[in-house]
Order: sequence, then C-alpha cells, then structure tokens
Amino acid sequence: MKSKLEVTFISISFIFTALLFIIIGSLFFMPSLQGFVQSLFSEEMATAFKLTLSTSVIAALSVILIAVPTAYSLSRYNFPLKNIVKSILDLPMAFPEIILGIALLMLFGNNLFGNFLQSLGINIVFTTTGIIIAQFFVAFPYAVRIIYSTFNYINPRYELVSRSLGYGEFETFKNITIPLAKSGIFAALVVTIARCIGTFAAVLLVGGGTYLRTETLPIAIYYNLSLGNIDMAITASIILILISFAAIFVLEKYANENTG
Amino acid sequence: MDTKNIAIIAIVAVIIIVAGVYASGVLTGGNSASGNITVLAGAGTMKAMNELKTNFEKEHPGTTVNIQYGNSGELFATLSSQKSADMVVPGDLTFMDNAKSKGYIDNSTVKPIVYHIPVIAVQKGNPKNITSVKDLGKSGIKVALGDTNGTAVGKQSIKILNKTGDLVAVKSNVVVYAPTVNQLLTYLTSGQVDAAIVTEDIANTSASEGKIEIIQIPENQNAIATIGVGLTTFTKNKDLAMQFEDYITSSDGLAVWKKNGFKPVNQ
Repeated sequence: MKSKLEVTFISISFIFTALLFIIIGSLFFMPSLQGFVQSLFSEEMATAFKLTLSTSVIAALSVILIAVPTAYSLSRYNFPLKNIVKSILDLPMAFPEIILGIALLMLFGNNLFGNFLQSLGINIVFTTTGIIIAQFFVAFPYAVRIIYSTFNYINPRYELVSRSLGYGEFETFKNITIPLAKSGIFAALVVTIARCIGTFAAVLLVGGGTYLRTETLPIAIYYNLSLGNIDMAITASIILILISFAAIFVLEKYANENTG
Repeated sequence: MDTKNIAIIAIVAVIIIVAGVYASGVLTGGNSASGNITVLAGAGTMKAMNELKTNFEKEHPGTTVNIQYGNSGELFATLSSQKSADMVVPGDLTFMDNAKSKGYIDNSTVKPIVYHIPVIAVQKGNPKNITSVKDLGKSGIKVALGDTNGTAVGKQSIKILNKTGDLVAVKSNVVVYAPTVNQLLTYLTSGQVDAAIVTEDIANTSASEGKIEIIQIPENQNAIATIGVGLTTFTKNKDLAMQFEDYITSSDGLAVWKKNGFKPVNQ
C-alpha cells in the first residue's frame, strides 16, 4: 500500500518527465525527412560537426589534465589563499558564459598581453584555438568540482599506507589515488565534453561564429534559426541531443559496471 | 486501494493542466481587447521602435502595440507560419517584394520611412589611418563584416565592395563574418579588428560615447537600404494599425528616428 504522499510525488515526477520527453521528442518530428537528410549531409553540418567534436575533445582532455592536480591540491593540501582560489574556481559557474567571452576578448585584445601574443604570431580570437580556450574555461570549474569531491571521498589512509611501505609521492598518486578516483575522473570527463560541445555564447564571441570557419553546432542552430532555415537548425539540435545522450549513456553504463 | 491511487494521480494531473492553462492565459494577456496590434520589426530598428511604441501608447490610452524583433529571415518565417501580425517594419524595403508576391502585404499601405546607411567604423583616433573603402584592402588591416547571408549590412557590404572593385583585396583582410551586427562593434572597441562596415545608426551610439570613429562612404559607392512599413493582409485591427503607421511616418515620429541615428527618406 503506497501512501498518499508517495503516490503524489511519483505522479508529479512521472508527469513532468513525460512532458520533458514530449518536448524533446517533438523536435524529432518537426523536420520533413527530406529536409532532415538534406541538412544532415550538407557541407555546413559536416564542417560544424567535425569542428565541434575536435575542439571539444581537445578542450576536455586539457581540462582533465589541469583539473586533476588542481582538485587534488584543493582536497589534500593547505596553502595560502586556498579559499579565494576555491571561490574564483566557482565563479564562472554562477555567471552567464557570455561574460567569460567578453573577458577573454578584452584579455586578448589591444593591450600588453594581446599585443605580445600577436607579435609572437599567436592569434587566438577568430580561430579554432580561441574556440578551444573558450570551451576550456567554461568547462574547467565543473571538472574541478566533480574531481574535488571524488578525492574527498577517498580515505587518505590508503595513501599513507602506501607511503609507509616505501613508495614515493608520485608513485602513490599514480598507483593508489588515481585508480581509486578513476570513476569520478571519468564522470568529470563526460560532463566536461558535454559542456564543451554545448558552449555557445563564449565560443560565438571569441571564435566570431564565421560561417563554415568557426561555426560550431550550437552556433549553427542559432545562425540557421535567424535565417529561417528551420530544418537545418533542428537537424543540428537533433545531432547535439544524440551526442549528449551517447555521453550520458556511456557514463551510466560505466558507473554501473564499476559499482557492481 | 488501486482506485484511490488512480484518483490521486488524476487529481495531480488535473491540477497541473489547470495551472498550465491558467498561466498561459495570464501570460498572453488573456483579453484580446480591441486596442491590440502586433508589429514585426527588423532587429536594427529596436531602439527607435520601442520609443515610438511608448509614445503612441501614452497618446492612445488603452491601446497596446506588441513588437517582435528579428532579422529579415526570422520576420518572414513568422509571417508565413503564423499569418497573424498586423504590420511589418523590415530593415530593407526589398523584403516587401517577397512578402507581396506571397500576398502577405497590403500594397497600398507600404511607405518608406528612413535610410539604413552603411559606414566604415574604425578604432578611436583612427590609428591605421583608414579614409575610404579602398583602404580596407591595404595589407595588415583587419576587417570585420556582417555575415553575408544572415545580416542586411553584410549583404550591403558585398554590394559596396563590388561597386568599388575592392572585393578581392578586402576579402583577404576579413578575419570574421559575424552573425550579429552588435558583435562587430564589440570586436572594434576591444581592438580585435581595425575596421568594420556597420550601419550609421548603430555606429552613432558608440561614436557618441567616443569609443569609435565613423568614416562616411560616398553615395555613389554606397549601398543604402530603406526601412519601410506596411500593413499585412491578415490584420484584424486595420484602423489602429493605420493610426500607428501614420504616427511613425509623421514629423513627430521622424524626429524619434532621427534621434536614434536614422536619416528620413523625405528630408
């Protein structure tokens, strides 16, 4: 016998999940099959897809590479200004990413640092490099968050035992800490890739959003909506949904295998 | 027991549906009073149109002018899919020809209002010494243009460069074709580019704040678009729509356009 509260809560969650499913599902029935196929095999879609995937993978791997030591030091060490570092890392999650885009523009603009990079022949704004940098900073805080809590759950005693058996700091980190944190790091990687793929405003500003050159999938949606190419926009949306779905599916499967 | 559960689920569902219907009614204003018109307007007209709307509603209490902004593509899509707006104010009169051929526009109501004039915008102090369209093709100049499909000013830029014969030289200097015009000014003021072709009304706001400088393009090289107005064939409130059209094309209305950096057609 289920209680009234239980039935109420379950029905609320069912009804709203169903609504969400209908909302997402309705996208799939919007374009005509012919329009969908045409959009899917267009040069614009292929270019946007390749660009999105390649930049996101590079950005996400770089994020994990930097986020692991960052999260580990926040979790295990005490150092001056630690709280300030933590707050700064959380900041980008709280404000809209377009602010990050403007900030990056100012940083690489007509100033000492920007001009120094230009004199070295390094161009960031309006390039793929710029897209990767924008994705990196949007996703970085999320990765640090997830990996930080993973390290917090790992009992430091394992590391101490390893050290007392004569293993060095780095060996311990490599053979004990990382394997224990593997699933958390993997989860962070999936969230990071999804975040990078979905980054819009920062990538639009820093990359410029030039047609066929720095046009990622989210920009392709926006751009084609503004042109009235509904089929093109919805096809790009469907591709993004499928990528996200694949990422979540892999994550769930992996998490289940690890826990039992 | 089962029936009880089903009853609870049904009640929850009914509450949600009722709440949804109620909310949507509240959001759409609920009452379709006789004093409502909907206008589809070009995104570039936003500042002027918002001011005109406010003035008009003040002078005609009880009337509401709803304005939806977008670029030509968006406006056309809305027009053809919803067939419900009363008036269009596109950023370029050529829009009317397309809409007329579909039978969406009442031909007798179409009027030009103001010009959309492309200008060259450069960084403050004009450090690269740009004085003409030709200078945009000099080596070492970084140029930003509007997207040549999605923005009116992007299309106009190509026309201008074709007229002056600088298309090839300038194209090799273009570092970005931005999908929105406002991005162009952001790139200029943050020093990412040396010059951009934008419309005068947009450039004026930044120029008046002393952030950029404007270089005019001679009329014989320029591709000037005309902002116009017209009533749709499916308007349900022709009297009010006509009143609003008369106001935005009147001398009082034109003063508002001028204030926002536009040049009236008949002056």
